[in-house]
Amino acid sequence: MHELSIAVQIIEIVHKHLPADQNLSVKKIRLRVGEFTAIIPESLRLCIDTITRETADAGVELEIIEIPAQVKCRQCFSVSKIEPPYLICASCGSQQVDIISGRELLVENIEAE
Amino acid sequence: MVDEVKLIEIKEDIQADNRLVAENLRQEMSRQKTFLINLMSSPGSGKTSTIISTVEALKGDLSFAVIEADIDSKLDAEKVAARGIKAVQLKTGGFCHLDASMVSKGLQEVDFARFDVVIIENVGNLVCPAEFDTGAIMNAMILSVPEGDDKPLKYPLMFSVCDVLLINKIDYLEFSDFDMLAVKQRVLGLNPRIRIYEISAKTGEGIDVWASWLKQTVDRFVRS
Repeated sequence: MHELSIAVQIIEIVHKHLPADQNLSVKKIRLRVGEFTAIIPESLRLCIDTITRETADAGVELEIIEIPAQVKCRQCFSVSKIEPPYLICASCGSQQVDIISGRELLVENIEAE
Repeated sequence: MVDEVKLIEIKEDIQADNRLVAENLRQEMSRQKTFLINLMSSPGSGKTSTIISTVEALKGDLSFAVIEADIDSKLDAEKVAARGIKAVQLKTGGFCHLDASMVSKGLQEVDFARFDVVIIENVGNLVCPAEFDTGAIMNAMILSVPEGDDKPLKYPLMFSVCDVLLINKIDYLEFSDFDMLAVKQRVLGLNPRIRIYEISAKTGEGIDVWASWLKQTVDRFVRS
């Protein structure tokens, strides 16, 4: 639901890392997005397209690497992959779990030419 | 000639900038001894009336200002200001949450250092505000009885980022099948550190207990 502000931050990060003196333009942005982040890939793509329209970044490709949601149970200590948003241990059904992955939201790398 | 594609490694957290602004804000609040509360909930859970009854319960003990966030309305700020409470309205312009730089703007507008406590009334939404650090010293949320006791299961992230849960509209309990014990078990399962208070902003029930805990907490913060 908050893809627009995320898209603005992504483009800012990309420009911060793009060498200014090499006349490069960004062709692909690779992101790592955890399943807990409530980011809808299609919606993020649309926001990136919209804010880059008629700029040098227009047409930039977005590749999203999804990071599975995993929890560690405080009862049975097992690590399991789960379906967000429910936070329940897949092994024993306990709700006493800690998130160990799935909250990531990173710009991994970019391809420029 | 084929253009050479250059791979540039970044590995940067998209929220890093916001977290940095939030951290600076928290340090500034600690220096100025202003306790910043980020109050979150779904629409209609009673954020504005809870703020009003909390401020009235602590009148004479603590001074309050309120930052109201709304997609596009001044209604809440006017309602709070009508009670003589200093309030500013931040229009989020379609955004579903507040981030630290928006809060920082609101704090300047309200001249925060003059107050013991500033309450941010975040946008009514149980999803997005949980993802953004606002720079608050304390995250608080409201769950109201008519919303149902399944909300901690559906929006676990919100319940896991909060320090305090106010269960509001307890005057509706007798008309509802809301299972208070189940809610508390679900919430404490997600977040064993959270403090839970049962209140009714309308009848005033439970407000004194919550307000006196808040007073003690702010006093400890000011002395630290």
